Amino acid sequence: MIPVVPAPSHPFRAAYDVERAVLSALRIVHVGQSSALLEAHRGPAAGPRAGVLVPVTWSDRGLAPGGFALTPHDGLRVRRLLLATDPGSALLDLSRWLDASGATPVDLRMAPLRIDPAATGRLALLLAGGEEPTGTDPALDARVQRALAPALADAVVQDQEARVHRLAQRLIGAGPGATPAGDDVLLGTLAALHAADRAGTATDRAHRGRAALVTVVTDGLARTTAASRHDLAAALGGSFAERAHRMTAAITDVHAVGPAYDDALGWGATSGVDFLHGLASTAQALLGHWQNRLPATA
Amino acid sequence: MIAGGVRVLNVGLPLIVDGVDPDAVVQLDWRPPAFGDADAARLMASLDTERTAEANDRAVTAMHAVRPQLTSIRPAREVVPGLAEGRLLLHAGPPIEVERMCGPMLGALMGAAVFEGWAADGDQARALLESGEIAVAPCHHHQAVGPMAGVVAPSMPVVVVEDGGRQAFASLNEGLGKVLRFGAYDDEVITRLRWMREVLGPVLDAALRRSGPIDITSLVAQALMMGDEGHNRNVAATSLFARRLGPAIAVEESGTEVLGFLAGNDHFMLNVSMAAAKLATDAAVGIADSTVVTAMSRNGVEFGLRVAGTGEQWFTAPVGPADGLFFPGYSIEDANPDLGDSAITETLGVGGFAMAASPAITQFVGGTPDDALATTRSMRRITVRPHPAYSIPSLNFTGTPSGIDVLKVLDTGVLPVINTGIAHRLAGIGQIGAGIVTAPPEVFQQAVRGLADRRSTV
Amino acid sequence: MSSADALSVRVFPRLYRDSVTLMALAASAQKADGVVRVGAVMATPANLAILAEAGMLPEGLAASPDDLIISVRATDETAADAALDVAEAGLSAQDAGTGERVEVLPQTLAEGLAVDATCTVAAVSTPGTYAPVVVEQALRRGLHVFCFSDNVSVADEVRLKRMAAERNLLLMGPDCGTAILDGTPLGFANAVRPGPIAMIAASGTGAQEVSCLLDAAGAGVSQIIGVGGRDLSEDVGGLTTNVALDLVLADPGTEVVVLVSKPASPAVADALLARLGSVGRPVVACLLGLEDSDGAVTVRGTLEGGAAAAASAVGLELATTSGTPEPPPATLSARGVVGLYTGGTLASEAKVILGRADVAAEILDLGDDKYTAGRPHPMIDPSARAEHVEAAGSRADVGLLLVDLVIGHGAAADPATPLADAVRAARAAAERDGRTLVVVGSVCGTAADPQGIDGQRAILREAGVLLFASNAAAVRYAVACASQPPGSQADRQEELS
Repeated sequence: MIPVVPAPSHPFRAAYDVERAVLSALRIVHVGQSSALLEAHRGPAAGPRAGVLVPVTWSDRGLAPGGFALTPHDGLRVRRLLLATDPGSALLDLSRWLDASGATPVDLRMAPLRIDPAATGRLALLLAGGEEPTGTDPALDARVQRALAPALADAVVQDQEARVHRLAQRLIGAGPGATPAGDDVLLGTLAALHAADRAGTATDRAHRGRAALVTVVTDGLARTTAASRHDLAAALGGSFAERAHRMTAAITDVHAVGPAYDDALGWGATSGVDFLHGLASTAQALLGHWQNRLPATA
Repeated sequence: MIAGGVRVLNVGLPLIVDGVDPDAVVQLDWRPPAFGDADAARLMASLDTERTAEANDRAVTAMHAVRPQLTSIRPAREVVPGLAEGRLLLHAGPPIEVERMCGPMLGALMGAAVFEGWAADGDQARALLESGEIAVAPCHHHQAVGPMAGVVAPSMPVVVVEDGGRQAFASLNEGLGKVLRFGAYDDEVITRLRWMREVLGPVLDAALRRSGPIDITSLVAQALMMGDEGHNRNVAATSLFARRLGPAIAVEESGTEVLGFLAGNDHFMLNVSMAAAKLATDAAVGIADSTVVTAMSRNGVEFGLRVAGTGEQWFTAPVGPADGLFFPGYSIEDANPDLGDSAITETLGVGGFAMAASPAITQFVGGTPDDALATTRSMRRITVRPHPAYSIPSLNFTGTPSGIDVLKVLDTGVLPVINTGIAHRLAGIGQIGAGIVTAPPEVFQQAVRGLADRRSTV
Repeated sequence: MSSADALSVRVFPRLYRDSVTLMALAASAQKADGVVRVGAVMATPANLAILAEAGMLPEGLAASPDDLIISVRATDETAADAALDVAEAGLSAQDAGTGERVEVLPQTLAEGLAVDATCTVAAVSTPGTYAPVVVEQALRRGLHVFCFSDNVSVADEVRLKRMAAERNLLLMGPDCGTAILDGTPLGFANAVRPGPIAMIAASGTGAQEVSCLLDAAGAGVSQIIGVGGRDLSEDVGGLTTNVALDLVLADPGTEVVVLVSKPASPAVADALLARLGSVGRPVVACLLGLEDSDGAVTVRGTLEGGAAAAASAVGLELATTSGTPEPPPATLSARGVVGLYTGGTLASEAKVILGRADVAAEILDLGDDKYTAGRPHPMIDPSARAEHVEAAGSRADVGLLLVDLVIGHGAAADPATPLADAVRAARAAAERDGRTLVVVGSVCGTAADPQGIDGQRAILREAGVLLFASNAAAVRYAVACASQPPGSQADRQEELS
């Protein structure tokens, strides 16, 4: 039996890169409070698209790459429907969603952004103030990965290829969480680099450093979880979840810092804060590159 | 210097209270209020006064003091204000133009027009409705309520509940299957309606006269102890009703037929308890400064909210279909957007608010008894106080949460939970499932603006 | 790890659970009897390596990145298995339920008060957009408010402070950093001894400096009430300051009142001084930059002056003004004086003293928005200032460097070390150019602060910083040096040794 999920009844949004080819036979991976994770069928005929993820989100969760964002109402509907569906056997068909008149395509690529020193400073201050232990065991504490963020940022901005490789490999798939903390740090790092790169404010060196990072992360994708792999692959192409876009505002606008931090606290157990660490460290490194001077007078 | 000693409620960063004895700190898990609408949040804070608290106390006291008695079953035109003359039909929900109505509601109105003999067939009925020769108005504007399409026509029998000179009305429940309230109006439906007008209504009315009025509050309270939640499950209440009135019905001519009908209709008491809830919540309408909700209702297109302090004003927002469990062969694709006045039961504090009383219903809408308990507990966060008559064993005999406070809904971000039946989107197919919906946030954001306007003009 | 330890591991193939659930799972397993360590992570190569390194991975265990692995080390096998059962039960309970999260912490102010109705103060540090909402809710429920949030409009500040004043409640802030209420510190504050002096402060570090100087003199503090930087402006008109005065005047533990502020609006200052003149107990108005005067109210233009006047009102003397001999002024190799401050009011005090002595100097408040560029506040991240200090070492025009160091609740764990390193580097750089850089400073803090003032001082002294008991004393020394004629290298070496 293939239960068919009907098109949402309210206007909804679809990521511009959602892949039609994967939508007709999806398996339920996880149903959460404000999102559901679906996965392209791995059956015999599935081909290369097998295992591609389609995140369906609602409430204030925001759109994720390759996914759909529904109104709270539709989200609740879909959630109840999925909860009542046997995840083991049922396959769902969302292909009609793309044809629905209520679907608005959204480009999730990171826009060019100007990094603001005051905003970045405030963000770093907030992060410095909130360093609580994040796990039951010191070896599996997200702070281990967060602590690598400044060094990685520095290595990228200085284009120290060997150091970028070494640090990125220590981050991929490392740490607590369904999306391991190290991956979230990498996402934050990539977000800041993309924003600066597209704004043309990154130095040539930083640009080359970013290319080195992209190479090592691309090679390492198989070393992490499916959910993380999905997010990282999108980030390598410059696309980020809306939630990540909202967080990234924290390095461009001083007034966005508080809301972004609050937002981050609600993103996974540690993911949001991990992301902000990557973001803030990289923004600081990028700023430091051309701002590291003593003011002459008061 | 600080009377009572320094004990800190920390709203935000834990860093601020680093130097404070942890025993003297209550840390909040604070979130932005009013569903992220900062202006609505400011109005919420400005209305959160002693005056409001007193008004809300008066409103809930008034609602809880009402003891509705079921006194008679009379033709609507005799008792419902405005139905005596002319061609007026009542419907569920906030006001809506005929052109915008959903299938089941339009079908029910057409059927009612045929039933009244105002039209020969559906097409003619539709033309008369669209031209305005047959007028329509919400039940709520005529002291009445009706489930689903909620259509009340002048010759239909209605239940009359009273308390101290005030009255409220509701249609009689037709049972499940092809019925008018889901928009069906073929011969089978019209025939049943005629039987209800000519046999069911008069027999029940006579039986009531013989046996005396029935106290609905105590009957519903008893049913909650027996596993009803008072909205989607009414089998206990209906059984109690039949038991109470059975001897008096049995001696009437056609009494056996009526008893047979009651035996086959688990939901008969729903309409009666809706009328009782309407009578209770109407006691709070117009209490100045009160932010307590007095009605929640759906017309199949919009959700409508009324608040004590803004009197008869409606706050509305679009409504979608309920999700839940569907009868075999149907899915959410077939579902009509949410419909009916029955959320008046939640407005008083039963239905979704009394989930903890009804493990059976939890299974029906998908979930566990733990979920049911959690639902009822979370409704405590947005209500004024427990209903003194409706106590629940699983909550240590405290009452169900009652008196939804608009300000608390905005402050917590918790929306009222409503149990509901699901109608097919096409007229006449009937009920295809049951589930849970929440009220849309927009109506509460609008309500706080309406309340603030009212306050600033006083 | 003793040999009696047992390690048990379970792998759940291709199991996805959200992070919050994984965290809760590990926490519940951790609570089981006999459990030493618990790891619940996705079995990525990196995490398997971490587990192996922590001794929490049996050899030869195979798993792939999308598997969930739960590893428990416990005192014995039974305990480890029991903990794993707890964790696994948590996983399957998730399957059965709808995953609704149980509310544990109260969310709203009203719910917080329902949990504990004895709360008397609300500390608010929400985003500025919502701060007025929360402050209003708190005031309407009769709570005093410490509002750390900033970005609140003046109109909201005035409206809410009027509301607070009507209810005789304190609204400290917005943008209030420091308070000590009946001995309880909020925000950034020092561990000062209790005593008879109450402070009402529109400036955070100003209040910290005065309270620490009083502490060092053996005097103590009854209250520090922060009022927010704008309280004494024309618009706000001292609304909170007046409520604070009412409260401290009624406080049996308060004998002396000290007001601390950067220069206030003249109209507000006049009205306030008129009121202060008739309160019937000693009042010191420490208004930076004003001329010192003695009348009904003792007015002092520096923090140290204010602290000295307050100390003398309780019969004590400040160490800095009690005749402790100060070292003879050094002869500077260049006339330039630069101050690199982390405390804004300390920088202001330096400017006042240097201005009074007609000594030209560059005094920077590195906590100001224009210098925090890209960095946290230097009180929290001391490395921000270190770079400025190092750079000053290579400036040929600079002969003397003034610094401060603020410790206490909220400040960095060891701010002295990065400053000391930077000072060493700066002095070495100057030395290489054949100059001597004189570095002068003070530490604002007490022995009881989490960082400990003595240790912090020792670190700075070791790096060659000439330390004084107050910021004012350090600045006075700088004035004395700058007023000396330039001398020979040999003289200087002798004086500094």
